[in-house]
Amino acid sequence: MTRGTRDADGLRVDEAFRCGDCENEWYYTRNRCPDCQSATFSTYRLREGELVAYTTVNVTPPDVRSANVLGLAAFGDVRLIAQMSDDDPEVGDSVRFAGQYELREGGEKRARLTGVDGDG
Amino acid sequence: MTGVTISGVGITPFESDAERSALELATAASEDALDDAACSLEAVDSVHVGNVLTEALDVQGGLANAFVSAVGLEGVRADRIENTSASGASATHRGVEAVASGASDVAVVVGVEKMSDADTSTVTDAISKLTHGREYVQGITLPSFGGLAAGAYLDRYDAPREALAEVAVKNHENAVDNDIAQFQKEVSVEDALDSPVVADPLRLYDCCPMTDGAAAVVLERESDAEGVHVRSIGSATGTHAVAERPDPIEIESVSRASERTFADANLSRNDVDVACIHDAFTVLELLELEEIGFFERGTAWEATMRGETARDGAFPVNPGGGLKARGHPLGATGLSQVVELVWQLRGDLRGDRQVAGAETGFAVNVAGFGNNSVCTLLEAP
Ligand SMILES: [Zn+2]
Repeated sequence: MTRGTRDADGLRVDEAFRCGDCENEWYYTRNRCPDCQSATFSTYRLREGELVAYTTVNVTPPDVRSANVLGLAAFGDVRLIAQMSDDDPEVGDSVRFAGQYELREGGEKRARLTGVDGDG
Repeated sequence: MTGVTISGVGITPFESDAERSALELATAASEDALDDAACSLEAVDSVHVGNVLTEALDVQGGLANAFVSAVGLEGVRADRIENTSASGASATHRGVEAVASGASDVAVVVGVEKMSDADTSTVTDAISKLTHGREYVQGITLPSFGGLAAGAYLDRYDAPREALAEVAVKNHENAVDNDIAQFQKEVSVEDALDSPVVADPLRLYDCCPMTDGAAAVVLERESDAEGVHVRSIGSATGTHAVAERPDPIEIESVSRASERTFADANLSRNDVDVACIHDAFTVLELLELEEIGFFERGTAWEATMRGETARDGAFPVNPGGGLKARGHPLGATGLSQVVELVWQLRGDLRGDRQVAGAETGFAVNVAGFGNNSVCTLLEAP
C-alpha cells in the first residue's frame, strides 16, 4: 500500500495515544499532544466504547468492501470512525475491536468494531 | 471593508465530460472575466489559480505557469492554491489580499477542475486521500462522513428523510434556468427518495456530481474600478480527522470562518439577502445554514420544507442550483459561488432567475468535510 497507511503504520487499529504530561487521550496520529503540546506520549489499547452514529456505505473504493458499515464510536473522550463487523448495529450499542480483516484489499489485517453482546 | 471590487466575472458551462482541457477551460473563463471587466492583459499583476486534481490525475503539473502562458500573460506573479474543495475560495482569498495590500492593482483569480480526466474510482480515491491516514485505512470516503452526519441530524431533530430530499429538489429547480448548470432539470421528492443509497441515509440525489468547469473573477481596487464590493473574506481550519469533533453534526470551521467574516464586515446574518452554501451533500446545506447562524440549530430542515430557502422565499439559498445541480468542479466551485452572487448583486439575471432586491450576498466554500472553510461577503455596486 502507498500513502494512506502512513499514519496508521505500526499501529494496531485499537491503539490510541495518551499524553505523558497531561493524560489527554487521542486517536488520530499527531506529533504532539493537542492540549498541552507535549511530545511525550505513549499508546494504550482501547477497550469498550459506545456507538454514536453509523452508516452503511454502498459506493466504496475498488479495494474496499461494499457495503462498508462504518461506525462513529466514543471511547471516553476518544472518538473514531471504523469499519464494523455487524451490519445492523444500533446507536448506543457497546462496541469493541475484535477479529482480523483486510480493511482494504491486500492491506494489513486489522480488527473491526463489533457489538459487545453481538456475535462478531 | 477590503477596498477590493470584483470588476468582472467569467464562467464556462459546468458539464459531466467537457471537450476542452482544464487549461482551455481556465483560459476561457478568465478571458470572459477580463472582457467583462473591460480590463487588458497588460494590466494584470497577479494570477491565483485554484485547482485540486491535475497532478493527482497525472494531467498537468505547474498549472499556474501553464495557464499564464496559455492566456498570454508575461512576467506576472502566479501560483496555484490547493485547499481541496475550497481551493476556489482560497484562491479568491489570496487575490483579495493581494489587491487589498497594494501588492497587485489587478488580480485574476481562476478556479478549474476537469474531473472526467480519470475514471470515477481514481477520482474518488484521489479525493479520499484528503482524509487522515487512520481514516483512509478504514475505506472512508467523503459521502461516508455525510451519511454519518445525516443520520445523526435526522435522529437528533426527529426530521423526516424528505427534509434532505427537499434540499435536492429546490437546488435542481433553481438550476433549470441557469444556463451553465450541469443538471438543468427538476427532480421530485420521490425521485430523490427512490435513488440508490450511497451512504445511508444519503442517496444518489443527496450527493453532488463530478463536474468539469472553470470560473474566474477580476479583482481591482474600489478606487480604480466599478463592480461588486468584497466586503470581507475569512477562513478557518477545523479538525483534520472528522471523528475528533465533539459532535458529529457540528462543523466548527464553518462557524469560525463565518464569525470572522461577519465581524470584519461589521454586518449581521440579517443583512444577507442571498447565500451560496456548500451543498456537496444535501445535509451539508442544513448543517452549514445552522452553523453560520442563518437558522437556529435543528430548524433549517423545517425552513427548507416551508420553502423559506427557495429563490422566492424569505432567504434564498443556492439560487443557481448549488453544488448539487450547478455541479462541483472542485477547484472552480468557490469561484462559481462568487460568480453567481455577482450576477445576483448586479441584477444581471432575468425573470425568476433573479433574486429580487439582492444587496448583500454570502458564500461558504468548504474543504474536505469541514477541514477548512472560506466565507465571502459581497455587496452590490
Ligand atoms: Zn498533554
